[in-house]
Amino acid sequence: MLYFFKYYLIFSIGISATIFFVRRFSLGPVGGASLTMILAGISENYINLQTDYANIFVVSAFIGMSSENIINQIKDILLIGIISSICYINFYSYFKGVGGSLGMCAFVSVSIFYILKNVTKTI
Amino acid sequence: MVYIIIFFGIIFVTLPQLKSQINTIGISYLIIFILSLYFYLKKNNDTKTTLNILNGYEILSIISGAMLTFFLSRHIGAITASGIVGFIGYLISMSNKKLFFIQFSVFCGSFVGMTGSFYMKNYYELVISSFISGIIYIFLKNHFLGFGGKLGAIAFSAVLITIFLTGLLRYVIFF
Repeated sequence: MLYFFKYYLIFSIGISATIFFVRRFSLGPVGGASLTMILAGISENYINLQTDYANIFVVSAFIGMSSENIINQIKDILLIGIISSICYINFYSYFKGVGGSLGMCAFVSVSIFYILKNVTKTI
Repeated sequence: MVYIIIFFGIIFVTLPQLKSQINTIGISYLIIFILSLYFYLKKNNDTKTTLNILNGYEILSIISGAMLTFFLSRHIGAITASGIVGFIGYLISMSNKKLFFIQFSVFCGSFVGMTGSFYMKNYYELVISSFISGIIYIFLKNHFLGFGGKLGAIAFSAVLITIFLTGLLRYVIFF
């Protein structure tokens, strides 16, 4: 359970950082996400950040690439953090080393979030 | 579109629970992914993909992004390598408005290049994987707009197809 909260916290920080880079610095989705990834990679190599946490930063960088009509409020970030933590715990260990698995994890998290958002809107 | 996303979600949550080998999960995922893609594309005719010379450049940029990331990942780690290649793609696209499309295809290629050497033994497999990823990218670039992780999902599908094909080829040659 403690792991889940750690993951959730890192997801929330990572998504917020990427959205900050993308929207405040006007770097665009690719520029913002790649900058977050570089920071995560440097932290992994030189500050000895755990690989698991670096991977979570990468997933959150992909989630942060989403457009404003999908993620536009803080509560969106907090909700998507929970979804992506569950997805990461359930999915990633089975596809370790396969390129794009982190992106897939992000894509499914965003998709589930998109459905939930639309369902709550219609209700 | 909502149905396909629900489908993705169910697969995603249930399949890893089976605790089987990667091939079983990968192949079953792949079949469902291709089927759902087919139904999605059949249903949505609003954004038709027109093939032109630009698609060739996109495939080439995906291949170059993948090769560069694969080479760099052995020295500086996969995450940093992918980030650097993505940022290079971003800088190139910012240098000229006509090259705006480059950043997305290069970034997609960098995810293919993140594959570990356990699955990708050489550059031939990497080029095949990038090529498949390029084809999927061309047909999907006008769909799922604004969804984070779409490029990664494309790369993931292409890598799984390559792993499946190379595994099948080895099996045929071995027996």
